[in-house]
Amino acid sequence: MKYVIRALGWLSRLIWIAVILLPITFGLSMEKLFQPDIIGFGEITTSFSNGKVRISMPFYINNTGYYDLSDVNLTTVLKDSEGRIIAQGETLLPLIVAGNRIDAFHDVYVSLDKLTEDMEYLLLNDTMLDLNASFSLRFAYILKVSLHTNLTIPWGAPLHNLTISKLTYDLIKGELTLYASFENHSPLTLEGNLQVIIYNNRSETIGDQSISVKASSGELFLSEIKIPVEFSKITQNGYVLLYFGAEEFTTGPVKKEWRLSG
Amino acid sequence: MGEVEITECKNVIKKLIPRVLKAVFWCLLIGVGLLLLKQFLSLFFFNFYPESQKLFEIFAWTIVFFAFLIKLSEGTIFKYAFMIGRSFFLILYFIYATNGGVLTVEASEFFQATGMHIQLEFTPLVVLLVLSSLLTMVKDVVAAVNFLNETSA
Repeated sequence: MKYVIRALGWLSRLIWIAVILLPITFGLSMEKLFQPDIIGFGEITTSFSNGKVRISMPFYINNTGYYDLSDVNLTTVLKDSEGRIIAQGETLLPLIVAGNRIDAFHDVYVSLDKLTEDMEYLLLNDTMLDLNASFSLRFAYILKVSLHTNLTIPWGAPLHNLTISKLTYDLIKGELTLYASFENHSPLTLEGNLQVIIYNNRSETIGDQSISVKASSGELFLSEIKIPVEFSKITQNGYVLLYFGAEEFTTGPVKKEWRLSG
Repeated sequence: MGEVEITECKNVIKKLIPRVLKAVFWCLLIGVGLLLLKQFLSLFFFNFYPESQKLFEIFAWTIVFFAFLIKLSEGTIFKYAFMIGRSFFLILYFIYATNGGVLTVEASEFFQATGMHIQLEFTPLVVLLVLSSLLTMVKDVVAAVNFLNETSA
C-alpha cells in the first residue's frame, strides 16, 4: 500500500511540475514574440477582377519563440452602420514552425456589385464604418490566443458631393452650360465617364452629354459641360440625372434639381 | 471539577499547544511564500486581469486554512479528511477560477486600443490541474485506509 501511495504522490508531483513549467515556458516564448520585427506589414496594393476590388496586404510572421504556432487566422470584416458587410477577408496559416519565418498576403475583397446595388450611398457620402478584426493562433498546439477588436473607421466616398451648378443658357448658340463637380475622398484614383441627362420642369428630356472623368484621391473634380438644347424646350428649372460609369463599377441615377442662373 | 479532570485538561492542553504552534509556524511559512507570489503577480498579471487578484486571495487563504488544519490534526484520521477536502476544493476552484479553461480579458487599457479583448483557451492545462488534484485525492484516500489499518492492527 505504501508503494501505491508513493507512486500516486510522485505522479501527482510530476503533473504539477509540468503544469507549472508549461505556462512559464509559454510566457518566455510569448515574450520573444512581442519583440520588434516579429510581425511586419508591407505596402498595400489594390486590383480589380470579377466585379470585386481586391485589397492585398503583404505581411510576415517571424516565429522566434520556442514553440510552433499553428492555426494562425487573421479575419477582417467591414460593415456599414446597419450591419451589412461591405468587405471581408480571411487568411489562414496552418503552421509556423519554431525558428521559421513565413510571408503571406491578407486579401480583403469588396464586392462592387453589392456596393452599387444595396449601398449606393457609400459611393456618394462619407460615413463611418465598423471594422471587426480578429487574430488567433495556437501555441504548442495547446494554448489558443485570440485577439478581437472593433474599430470605427472613416469611409471616404469616391463621388462625395456630386452636384451640378451655375447653369446658364446661351440663346444665340442654343447651348446650356453647367458645371459638374465632386470630391474624391476615397484612397483610389477614379477614372470613368459621367453622363448628364437634363430634364425640364415638364419632365421632358432636353439634352444629354457624356464627359471623361479622372480624379486622384483627395482631388476636387470640376468640369464645364456644354449641352445643345432647343429654345422651345428650355424652362427656368428642372432636374438632371447623373450616371457614373467606370471599369470597376457604375452608379446612378443621382437626381439633382437645377435652376437657370441670371 | 475534580482533580483528575483538571489534570486531564492540562494534559490535553500540553499536547495541543505544540501542535498549534507547529501549525501556526507552518502556516506562516506558507503565507510568506504566497505573499511573495502575490507581489510577483501584481507586477503585471493583476493589472492585465483584475479579477484574478480576488481569486488569488481566496486561493491563498483557503490553502493556509487547510494547511493549519492538516498540521493540527497530524497523527489522526482527520488529517486525511482535510487533505481530501483540500483536493476537492482545488478541483472546483481550478474549474471555476479558469472558467473551464476559457478566459476573456478586456485589453483596451492594456494595449491602448478601444474595443479590444483577448481570449485565452487553455483547457488541456486545466484538465492536467484537475487530474493532478484527483490523483492527490486518490492518494489521500489510500493513505487514510492505510492509516486505519495500521492504527487498528
